[in-house]
Amino acid sequence: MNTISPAELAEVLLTGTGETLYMVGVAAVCTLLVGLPLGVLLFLTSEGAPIGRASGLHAVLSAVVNVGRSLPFIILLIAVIPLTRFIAGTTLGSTAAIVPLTLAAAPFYARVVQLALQEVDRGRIEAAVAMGATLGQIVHKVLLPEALPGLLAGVTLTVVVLVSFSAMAGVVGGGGLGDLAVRYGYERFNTEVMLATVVVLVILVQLIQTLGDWLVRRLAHRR
Amino acid sequence: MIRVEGLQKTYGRGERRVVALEDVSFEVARGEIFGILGPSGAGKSTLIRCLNLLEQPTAGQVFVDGVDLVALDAPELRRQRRRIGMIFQHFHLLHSRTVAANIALPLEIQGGYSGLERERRVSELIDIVGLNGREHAYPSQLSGGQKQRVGVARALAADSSVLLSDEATSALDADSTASVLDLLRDVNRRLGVTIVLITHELNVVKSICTSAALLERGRIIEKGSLSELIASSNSRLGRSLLPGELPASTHGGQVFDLEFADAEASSPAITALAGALNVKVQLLAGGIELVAGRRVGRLQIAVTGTDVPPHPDVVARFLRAGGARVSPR
Repeated sequence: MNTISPAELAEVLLTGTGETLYMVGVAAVCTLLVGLPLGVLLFLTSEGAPIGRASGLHAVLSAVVNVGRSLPFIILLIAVIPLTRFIAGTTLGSTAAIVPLTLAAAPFYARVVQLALQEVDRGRIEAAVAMGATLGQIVHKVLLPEALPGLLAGVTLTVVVLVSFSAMAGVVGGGGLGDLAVRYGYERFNTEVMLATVVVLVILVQLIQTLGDWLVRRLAHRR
Repeated sequence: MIRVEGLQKTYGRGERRVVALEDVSFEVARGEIFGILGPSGAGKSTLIRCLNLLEQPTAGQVFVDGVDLVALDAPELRRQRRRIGMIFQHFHLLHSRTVAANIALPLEIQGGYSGLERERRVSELIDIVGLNGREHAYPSQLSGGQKQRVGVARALAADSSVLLSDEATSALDADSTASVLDLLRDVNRRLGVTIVLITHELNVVKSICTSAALLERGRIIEKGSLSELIASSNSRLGRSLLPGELPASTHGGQVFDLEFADAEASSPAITALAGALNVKVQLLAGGIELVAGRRVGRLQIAVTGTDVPPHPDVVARFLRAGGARVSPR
């Protein structure tokens, strides 16, 4: 049985899109929550940062982030199953995919954050130091607002990466559009479903990128 | 107000050790505008950054209002820094904030102001620096001169009693430079803010400073009030503050180069010279300017007109009696 009725197609696509949006959405929020502070720490402890400078801590954080970024996602997905069980309470389904997705994307976003913060003019940070600002004030009144366009562009980048990682979530029964393409298109040679899935994925990524660009432009416009 | 004692700053160690400041000491009285002049690489920037400890001195002490900043712990240093405003060559305004929000930043950092109090203080400062109508503009929409006005307002926001200026006019065109210098003089007079500025432009020292120091290769070569410096015949800084570099003379008669620290007293002597010695006095070159509230200048004059010209020593003595420094050509 190689064909599938339009109604069925619509249904599987809808389910797949829903699962993808759920996994990517929740993972994106978790990625932000983990990656942003991690990136700020990476920046603050780095050599030449006008404040902090803790090379030991930086080396440890940097190593952790690099390990996270160097593992192929498919391996990470399986390797962290015990952790997934601990955090999500299950090792199957979309919810279970969120843990490895976050673990893969957070180090990536942390590096993006570090780069965005490095772009903030040192003089502006120093001006705040001269005003008697505390480290916390420097981070939330100077660093983050000044780097906001870069941080936001980084979110767009990260979400697109998450969409592509989420294609492998099928391994743990996470479903989603990528899983659909693999199951129908690759394993059952159903070209129709595969093409339809790819089209939806392309549109999804386009939408994310366009929205992200628009937000960044709006922010940059008034500066 | 500010006292610096035995300040030393070195970078690196061993063979790569570079001395940026060597035994720098000076004092700035309350209400003064103190200019530190020097060529690039003299250590000016390092010096002014040591005054609020953006740069940690290797040795020496920095007293601001009697408090030795070097001896303070981090929280106390932050508290002291809030009373010391600083403006920068490249302004360093936050691009994510409007003019008003940039000026409010030190108030937010200091804390203890309600939103309403902040607004009131900000509009007060906007008035002082003359940026009415630009409150909601972003820094990228301002000219260089306007940006520096925001910088000044921000530096004064938390009722600073000291303003440090790190080459604040060096990135500005001539008109903006003049207007920012006017503003600095204005806040100094109206608010009694003590100003320490560093610059490589003699003109800045000339137009607003009450006292100055010359910094070269990390050392202070000379320092003093502007009138002292000008009055002293062997002060390099004093002499460079006088207008009108005099050319080599091509005139046939007796030519004298004159310098005066007080033209009010010296000019009548030149006028009187003609009558007293029955000669013609011709002005060849030079200029007179108002520096530190006094007319100072350089003039080159030629004395001619009689069959038997007076002896140059006689002319020189006459002019010296009027307070001028005279060198016959």
